[in-house]
Amino acid sequence: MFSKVPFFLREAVQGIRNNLFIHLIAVGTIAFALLTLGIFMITVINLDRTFNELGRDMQVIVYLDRASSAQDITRAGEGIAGLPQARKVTFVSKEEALARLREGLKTQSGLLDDLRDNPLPPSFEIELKEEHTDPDDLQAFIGEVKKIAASAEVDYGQEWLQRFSAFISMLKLVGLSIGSFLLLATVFIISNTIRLTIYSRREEIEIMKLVGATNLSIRIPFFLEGIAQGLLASLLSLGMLYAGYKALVHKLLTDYSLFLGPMQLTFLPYSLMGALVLLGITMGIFGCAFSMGRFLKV
Amino acid sequence: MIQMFNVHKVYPGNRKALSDINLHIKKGEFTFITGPSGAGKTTLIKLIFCAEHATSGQIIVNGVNFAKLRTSGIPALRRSIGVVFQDFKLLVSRTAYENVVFALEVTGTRPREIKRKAWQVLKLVGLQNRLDSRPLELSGGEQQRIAIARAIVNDPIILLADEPTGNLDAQITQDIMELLKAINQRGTTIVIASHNMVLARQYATRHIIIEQGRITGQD
Repeated sequence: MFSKVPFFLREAVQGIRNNLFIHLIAVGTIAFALLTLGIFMITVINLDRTFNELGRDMQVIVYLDRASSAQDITRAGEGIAGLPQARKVTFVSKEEALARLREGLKTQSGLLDDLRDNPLPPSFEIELKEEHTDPDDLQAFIGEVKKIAASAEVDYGQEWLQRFSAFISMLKLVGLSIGSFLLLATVFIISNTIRLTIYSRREEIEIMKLVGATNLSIRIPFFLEGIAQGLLASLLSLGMLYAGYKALVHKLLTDYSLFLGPMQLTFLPYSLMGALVLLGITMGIFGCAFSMGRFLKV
Repeated sequence: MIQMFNVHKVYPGNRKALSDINLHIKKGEFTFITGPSGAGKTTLIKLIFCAEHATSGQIIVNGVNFAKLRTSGIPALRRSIGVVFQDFKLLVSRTAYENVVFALEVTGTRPREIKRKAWQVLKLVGLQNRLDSRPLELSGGEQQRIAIARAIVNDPIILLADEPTGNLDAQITQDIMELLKAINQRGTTIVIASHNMVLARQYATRHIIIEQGRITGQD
C-alpha cells in the first residue's frame, strides 16, 4: 500500500487539475458556507464579550446609616472586603459624597450652600469579580452585606440586572439554535457539493473498478482531493472573514467611534479558526466517503 | 476456463435476463456469443467479470467459484480478466499512454515494469506514435485500440469484449478483429458478445447463440 503513495498523490493532483472547474465551484461553495458560519461565530463572540464587559462594570453601592460611627464604618468595610465576591471596595465618606454632588451640579451647586447639615450617608462602592455577576450570586452577596451592616441600604440596579440577565439567556438560546441550524446547513451544503463533484466522475470510478482497483485504492486519491478542497475552502473563508472584519473595524472606528466609545471588536480565537479548518477538512473526507459508496458497487 | 451451470439472472422488477445457462469455454478459445439486441449477451459478459451476480446457478472462472468469492476478492479476479466495451470507456482527460498506464498503476505494478509493459502493448495495438494523444483527438478505431491495450496490459488470461466493433466501420472492424485474433494466438481466451453473425462465422472457434436469455445453439 505504501508503495502506491506517489500514485495516490499523483492521482489526487491530476484529479484536481482535470476537474479544475468543478473543484473551484466546490471550493467556492464550501468557503461561502463556512464563511456564513464564521460570520455568525464572530458576531456571537463579540456580543458575548460586550455583554461580559457591561457585566464587569456593574457596581454595588452600600449606603450606611448616616449616624454610623467610624468604628461601624471600619467594621463594615473590613467585612465587605472579606467577602469572596468583592473585587474592589472603595469607601466614600459623607464629605466626599457631597463634594461629588457639588461637582455634578456644577453651576447650580449654590443650591447646596444653604444646607446646615450634610444629608448624604457614607457609602461603599463595590466592584464584583467577573464570575460573580449573575443574579443568584448577587443575591447571595447582598444577603451577606445585610448581615454585616443590617441598617445599610443596597443599590445595585436590580431591575436592570434582571432584564440584562434574561436578555443574555435569550441571546444564548437563540445563538445556539441559529448556530446549530447553520452548522447543519453547512454540513448539508458541503456534503452535497462533494457528492456532485464525485457524481461527475462516476465513469472514472467505474473504469478503476473494471481494471481491478481495490475500493481503498480508488478512495484514497478522492480523500486527498477532499482534504485539499476542505483545507483550501476553509482557509479562503477565514481570509474573507478576516478581510471583512478588518474593513468593518476600520469603518466603525472612523465613522462611528463616537457611539461605540471604548468598545473593542475581536476576531475569532485560534481555537475557533482551527475548528473551522477542521470542519472543512472533516467534511471533505466524510463527504467523499458517503458519496462514493454507491459508485463503488460496480 | 469459464463454466456456468444452470445460471439464471433476474433483474429487479422480475425482468428475466438469462435462464438456465450451461456453458463451458475452454482455455485459448475464441468464442463469439451472438444474438439479437436484448437477448442477454451483455448480462452474460457482466456475470463473467462480476459486474452482475447470478440470481441462481454456479459460475466458475479460472478455478474461482463465484459462490465462494468475497467482495474483497473481486479486484484480484478482475486483474486476470480484461474487458473492452462498445463505447471504449476511456478517461478522456488522459493521453493514450496514461490510459494504459493507469491500469498498471492502480494494480500496484512497479514503475520500471509499467513503462516496459505500456510501451509493449501500445506497440502491439499499433499506437506507438500516438502516445500523447487524448482519446477525443483519435478516431473510433484508435480509441478502441487504446481500450484493448488497457485490457491486455495486465496480461489477463481472459479478454471479454462487448460489441467491440459496434461503433466502427467495416475496414476498422476487420483491423480490430485481426488484433483480437493476434491476442488470442498469444494464448488469451477471448469472449466476444456481438450481434454480427458474419464476424462470428469468420473468426470464432466457438459460437454460442443466445435468444431471449436462453442458449439456442452452440458449435
